[in-house]
Amino acid sequence: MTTLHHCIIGLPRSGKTTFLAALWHLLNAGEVPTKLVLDKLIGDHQHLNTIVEAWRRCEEVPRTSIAAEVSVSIHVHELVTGHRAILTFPDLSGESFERQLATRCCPAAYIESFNGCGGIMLFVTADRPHDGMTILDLAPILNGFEESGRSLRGSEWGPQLVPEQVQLVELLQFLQQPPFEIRKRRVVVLVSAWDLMVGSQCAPAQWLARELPLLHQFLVTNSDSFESRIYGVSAQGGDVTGEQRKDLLRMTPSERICCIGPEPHTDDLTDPIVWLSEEY
Amino acid sequence: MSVPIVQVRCSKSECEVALTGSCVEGHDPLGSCPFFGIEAVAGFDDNGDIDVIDDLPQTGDERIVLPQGEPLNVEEVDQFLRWRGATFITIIGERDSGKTTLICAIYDRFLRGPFAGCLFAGSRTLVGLERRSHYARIDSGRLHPDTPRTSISEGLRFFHFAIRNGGIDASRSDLMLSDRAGEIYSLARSNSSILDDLVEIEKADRLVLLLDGARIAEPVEHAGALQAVRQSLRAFIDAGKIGKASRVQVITTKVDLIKRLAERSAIEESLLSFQHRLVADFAEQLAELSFWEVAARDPSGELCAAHGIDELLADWVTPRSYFIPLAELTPLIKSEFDRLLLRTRMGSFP
Repeated sequence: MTTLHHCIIGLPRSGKTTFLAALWHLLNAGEVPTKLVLDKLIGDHQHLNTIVEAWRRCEEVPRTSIAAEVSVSIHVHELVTGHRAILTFPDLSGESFERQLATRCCPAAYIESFNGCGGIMLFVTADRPHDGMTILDLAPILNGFEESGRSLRGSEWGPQLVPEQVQLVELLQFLQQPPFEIRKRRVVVLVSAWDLMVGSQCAPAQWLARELPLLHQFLVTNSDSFESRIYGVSAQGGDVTGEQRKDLLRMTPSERICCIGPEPHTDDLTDPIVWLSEEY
Repeated sequence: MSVPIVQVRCSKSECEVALTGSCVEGHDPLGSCPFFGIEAVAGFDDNGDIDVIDDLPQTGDERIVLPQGEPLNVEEVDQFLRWRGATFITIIGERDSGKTTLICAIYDRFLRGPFAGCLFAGSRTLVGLERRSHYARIDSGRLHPDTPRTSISEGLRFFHFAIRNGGIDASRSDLMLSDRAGEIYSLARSNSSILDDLVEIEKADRLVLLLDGARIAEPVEHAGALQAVRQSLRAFIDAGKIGKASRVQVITTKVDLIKRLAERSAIEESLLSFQHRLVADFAEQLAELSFWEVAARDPSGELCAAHGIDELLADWVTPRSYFIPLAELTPLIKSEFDRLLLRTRMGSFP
């Protein structure tokens, strides 16, 4: 039996908790075939059972606050190989990562979690606003502003203004220096809300290169530190806050889940975890 | 419940900005001061507003300090060099000549994708780059891009870029781009005793002298701007800070301002004549003397963003061998070890 601790990185609203809820339902319900299956239902699953309730009702999964951060464990085995493992995931609040970047320090436990066996699940969302826009980018619009005597609402610099891709690169760069163990790590980039991209003919890796180019460059140029794969994930299957919710509620819950990655002809949410786990 | 903070504090004990609203170092606006607001550590609430970290739950867990991401001082660069080598780009220029803007322009391009055939592979100074980029961003509330000035008290700092030149598998280059207040360089060309303190000049793999295009475009400033570059170059050579192994690049910044002028051709002719004189007077004393022009951000959009900076970056990440003519070395040959040099590739250092 191997114990693997897969670490999760992601800023607020990047889909971390929703992914865990969908994964927990998928493994428990056995509604669709998956590469990983639940091995034993032992341990404390209170947090997973709480978040999965909202997921099953097609409601927005409650965000994890800093006070509610927990680590969850799931006993699984791989169908093809029979390999058994205990997967543990920390369900960290996105604010924890922002806090780490603002204060430039982290708990010792965070470092220990990255120094153990396991890979990294890095979450970004396809449903994101543009950030880091420059004045030159909007020069034609701003010229009109100036002529009409209007001004923009601005603020002094603070860490909260750092673009998402820069924050994620910084979080990964921390792992390349002590006190983190210097070694090669597997990283899956999970682009959540991938249902927004249906019909776009854009592969997850192309999306990352287009939308978060600094992060994409960093991952491909640091192959000595990170071996990466990129997946598009829709853990809810669509927009649960709008009209689509009614259609989603009529579906078998596991069939709402979509996971597009390098593996052909599969929609299996456990694919990224199987790949993260296979080097151990 | 969290209490919003107003960041009016400064980490410098002698600064009374909280009382007077004025920065002791004269930074205007206040946010451009690197020490401003540092005492108040910002966190976030659910709405993205700034909160006091003290209000967050205290876990009692030991907290480990992580790299700060600010520009590196000399000691930090030394520490970096014990890990891996770096190419030093020393950027010299008067106040407002565009030193920091040049660095920010490179960063801005990498935020958008590969640049100059290079891929971004990391930076130890992301926070510093972000801080310096703020006035060029919409979030600043400005209508015209600007760059905070580097203050004298900051001393010598370096911005770091790790780059792979030519693709994923290409070798990695680490660039250290110097940043120091322009006032110091103005002083140094008037008083050569200061040059000994400017360690970045001797350390330079490329010595970049900025010729301020905004001053070149102004008739009243034109001659002074040219003379500042010439005098700097001469002072560095005469003091022995640069020599036969030095690669000097004279870069005219803000060329968009020159290209828009009615008297553009006359100014360009004057620049060409200036360059010819520099070559005639100094080129033989250097390994290389080249001339470049850039426009980091042309507000008219006629020139592409980071115009000319792509060629410059491509040059910086291209390794050069240091060749010192044998005639220069001959007097130094005294021992059998020295003679080994003669049996190598005629004094060509790797």
